[in-house]
Amino acid sequence: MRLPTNLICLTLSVLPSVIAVYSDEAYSVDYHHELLGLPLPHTTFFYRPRKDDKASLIYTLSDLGVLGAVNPGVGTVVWRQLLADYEGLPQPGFLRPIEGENTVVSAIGSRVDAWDALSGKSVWGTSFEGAARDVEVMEIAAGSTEAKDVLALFEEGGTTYLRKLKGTTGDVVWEFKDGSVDTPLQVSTNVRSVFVVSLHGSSSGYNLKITVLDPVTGKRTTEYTLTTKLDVHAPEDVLLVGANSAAPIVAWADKAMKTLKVNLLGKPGDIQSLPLKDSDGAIKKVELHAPHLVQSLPHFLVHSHTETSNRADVYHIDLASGNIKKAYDLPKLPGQGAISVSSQEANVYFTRLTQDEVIVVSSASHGILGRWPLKLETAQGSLVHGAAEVVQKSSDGYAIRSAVLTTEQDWVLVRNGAESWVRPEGLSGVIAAAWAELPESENLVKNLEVEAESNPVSAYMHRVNRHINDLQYLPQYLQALPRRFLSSIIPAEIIAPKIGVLTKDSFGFNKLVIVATQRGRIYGLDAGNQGRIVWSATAFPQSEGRSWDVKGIWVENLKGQTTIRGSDGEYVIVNTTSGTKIESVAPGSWPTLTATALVDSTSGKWLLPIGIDGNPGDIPSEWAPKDTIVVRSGNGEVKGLRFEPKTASPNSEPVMTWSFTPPADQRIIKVVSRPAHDPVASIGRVLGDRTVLYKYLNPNVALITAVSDEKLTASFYLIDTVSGDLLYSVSHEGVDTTQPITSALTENWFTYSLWGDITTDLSLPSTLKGYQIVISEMYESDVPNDRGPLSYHVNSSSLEPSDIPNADPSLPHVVSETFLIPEAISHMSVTQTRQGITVRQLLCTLASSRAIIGIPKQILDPRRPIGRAPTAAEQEEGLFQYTPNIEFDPKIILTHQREVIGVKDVIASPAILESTSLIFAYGVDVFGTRVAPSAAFDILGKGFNKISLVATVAALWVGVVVLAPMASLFPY
Amino acid sequence: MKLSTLVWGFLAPLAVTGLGFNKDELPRSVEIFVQSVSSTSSPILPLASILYNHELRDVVVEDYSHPDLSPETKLLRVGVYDTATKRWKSAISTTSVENFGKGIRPTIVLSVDRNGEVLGATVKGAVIDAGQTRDFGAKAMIVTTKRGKTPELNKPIVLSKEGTLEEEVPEKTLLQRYWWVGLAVVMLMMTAGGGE
Repeated sequence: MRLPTNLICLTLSVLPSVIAVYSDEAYSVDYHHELLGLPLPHTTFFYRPRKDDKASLIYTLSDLGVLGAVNPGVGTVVWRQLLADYEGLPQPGFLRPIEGENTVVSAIGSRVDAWDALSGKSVWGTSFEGAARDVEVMEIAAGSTEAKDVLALFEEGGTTYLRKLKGTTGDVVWEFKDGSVDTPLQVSTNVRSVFVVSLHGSSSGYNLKITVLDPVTGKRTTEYTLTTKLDVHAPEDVLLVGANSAAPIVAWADKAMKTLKVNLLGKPGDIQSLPLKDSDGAIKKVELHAPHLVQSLPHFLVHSHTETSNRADVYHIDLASGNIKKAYDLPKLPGQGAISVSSQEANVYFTRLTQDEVIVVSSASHGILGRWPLKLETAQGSLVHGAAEVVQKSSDGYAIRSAVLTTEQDWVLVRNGAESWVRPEGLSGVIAAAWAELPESENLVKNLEVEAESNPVSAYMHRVNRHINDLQYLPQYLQALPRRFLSSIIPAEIIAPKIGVLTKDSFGFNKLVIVATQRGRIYGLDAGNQGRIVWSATAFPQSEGRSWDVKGIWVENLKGQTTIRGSDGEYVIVNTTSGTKIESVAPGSWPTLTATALVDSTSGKWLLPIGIDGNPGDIPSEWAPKDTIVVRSGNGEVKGLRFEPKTASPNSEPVMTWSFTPPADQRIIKVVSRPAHDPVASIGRVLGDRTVLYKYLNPNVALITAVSDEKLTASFYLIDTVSGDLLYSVSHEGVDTTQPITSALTENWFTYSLWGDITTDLSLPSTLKGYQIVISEMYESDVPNDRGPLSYHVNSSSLEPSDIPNADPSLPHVVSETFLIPEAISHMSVTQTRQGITVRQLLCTLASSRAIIGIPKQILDPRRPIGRAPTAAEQEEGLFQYTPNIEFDPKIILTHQREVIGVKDVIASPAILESTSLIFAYGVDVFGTRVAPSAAFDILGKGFNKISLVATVAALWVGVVVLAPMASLFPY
Repeated sequence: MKLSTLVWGFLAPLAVTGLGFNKDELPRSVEIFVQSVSSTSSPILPLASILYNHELRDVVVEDYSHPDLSPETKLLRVGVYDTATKRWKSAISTTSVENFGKGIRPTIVLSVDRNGEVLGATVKGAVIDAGQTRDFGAKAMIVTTKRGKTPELNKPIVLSKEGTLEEEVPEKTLLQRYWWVGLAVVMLMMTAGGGE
């Protein structure tokens, strides 16, 4: 028989030229919410990064200390810098643009930095003792070509320091030190003089002290005090505006909010009173808005809010006489509103956003220059504050863009009244997160569990009933069938599932993540759908400067409920899929708690609150945990507690069974245990010669990290959490205890990383130090095919004696190896898969690279042969030669090119597919992805061309149909 | 085999009673106490006095007294207790009272750090098989904190003053360099020719 060459050619031509089953799925399986934090009113502005270019960017230094530039056209981040060490709420930050110089200057904590406004690269940076209180750009006389200098106000141990820094290098030009103990508030300048405003006196009532300095020498020229008559009690009571305007002012409202007292800086004893009108209820809040440019007209606006309405008055300052005169007012409107100021050379514009419209007025007259109805489509809540940019297009045509923050913590850009984009900035600053299953799939699991546990006959009846019950879903199933069939052939994007519908999938990728932010909000994110926000709700709004301290988050998948507990005893129970509140208890109703633990009691699982000093207190006996719980007490010890019934009481009380205290000079910094879902597929490790090393698989172990700041050591203690026995301990020397030391424990291995001595060889210099990662594997004995003291036992007890004659105590045999790593690991966790067959991957957060990497376990293997090539048997085991360093090569970076900042924690969850683990990282940013540590062995990659496969089969079938009769015509 | 068991059977009791060791070799001693786990305060009873040398990892039970416990006691706390300050001096672990039962030989596991300070102690028991041992007294075991492993670095390259490698690689001889030419010639000679 001849080969039908034509047919084969035709068939082959259908196949793509490159056949790749696993195409790179970067940026399609992972998602990233690139966030900044909530923009603050005084550090958010529009600014042109290129002097000659009209395009501007929005700059902000957020409440999380993230400095960023956002493209106002599409709402994407152009660049970001994390300026604060992300530990709770950072210190107040200050941000100023240098007009016409392509630079922004920031001051936060002890640092002052200048950044290239277009690229976000550092121009210069400098740090001082104490904390920054203000930063200001020193305007220069018109026509000068020199770079503008920067004034930085610092407070160091109660003393005020003002330094002028050179605009090009950041070098100190002069320094002014105020000897008296005052609270510095702000620095202002009007080209001729520099003014330092500080609070003088005590908190029962401050006076304002204004020190006037010579801008060239930094010498004090004069100083005067403004008597506030007990109106000022805190820095927030002083409203400061016009930092760089032609006539900077300082203002405060009296206690009754009836008048506003204003002083033109540089005019001692001149306090002018402006009336504050309140027609419906008392005034709650007063804001001042004034231009920040020296060439702008000296006008300012007073925005006063009552409980139900807001109004504004515009005032003009007469530069010659120093008189303040009211020009006009903006009428009272109901609800909250946001007013922002923008200036174009001398012109000053005020933009007013209310619930239903946007208007622009000039500061000179009350005529409305532009008016647009306000339509917000996706953003919700009322407006809090905003920054605006007004552009005069023709003689009477204006365009306006304003970036506004809403009470629902969305950052919205309103362009001529229409919503242009929304950034969910409220999602930043996540402090706790948990995975949640979509409810339907769990029902089946529950049913199957019931059937597995009952006897065969009733299980059969149950199954038949279930199937009859399932018949009602048959029409829907049949309807969805063509779609399912198509979706398995045509790439999934073409027939994407409906947005907004939570559907479970057969791979188990569609899960929810419930997160709680430090501002007291909770969100539900759809991990299977690019991390889309499914719902959001305010749980416990936090006052400014406070962070919600979430101690536990527990998702009850069977009930579809999520419980979140805070440290002040508050808790909220919400519906997992919709976010509706089921129960909410305000802070202070329950005792303070330091931690929570998910415990199993005779009445079911629940989240046990643990009070101060690690004491959970008495608990009703039916809710008492069955097992020993591990707590950390205040005086640096780790304790095991067991609940015992009290005599003549329905309650049980905690009894300390064991306690671990490290030596006196050490303090415990971390305690890790094995993850709740940590299945082990194989109890041994098969070696190349077919012998087996048995894994030490004790589910009740914890790894305690303790450091000594005096002796510079880091010690790791592995303890049995039932008996408190010390199973293994190791200590490292020459460790920098201020660097991140982190650890992870899973299966039969634990790992930790630190910065310390890398050699104990005395002939080498002792300064040889570096970042290192240590991997330790635990086995039952050091001899293959031998289980040591455990012998034939399937289970063993940590407390009871062994019934093997003359057995030694069973302690793990630990094999360790150390590798050098290029940078610090700030957090570690481990992937989780459904059955634990897939090799685990160590997930490490690299704070300095802003990345998350997954180090394969094959690299972190303490049995890798050192100084020689592996033997054939070792190769068969998967071992390769040891190299002292592990390079973080781009292939193991899970975040690819994405910069994920401020990561606090990485959580993993198994999918239904054994190969895959779902990863979710949170902190300032939110990032999620899927990983397949042993490659995706149970799923076809995106690159697999199903159409060509079907076409090939069809072509072969046609070939057979056509050729079969032909072949029978020509017998051999 | 049997002989050695017999010999050890005679020697081991000597160690337990504190006769078969040199005190100079075991410079440190520690007192182990036990207390029954209960919500009410219960007496802290001495269990054993142990001599050890953490460098040689040598340990011996100097004195052992079976604790006098109330019958309802199920669990015991074990640790090093300071009778002067009335405080536990080490970590406390838990063990079952069964470990002190009949036919069980307790092993006191002492954990010490690298300076020899006691971190904690515990008692683990195992049934006695009289066929294997005649030593029925308590025994002790010492576990020390390991020194953290450092990376196995490669040997540093040592350069001479001129900046070249110290060890000169010896020149290869002509034969070592061109052995394959000879092989080719031999091959040619063997395969070529040999015609009729």
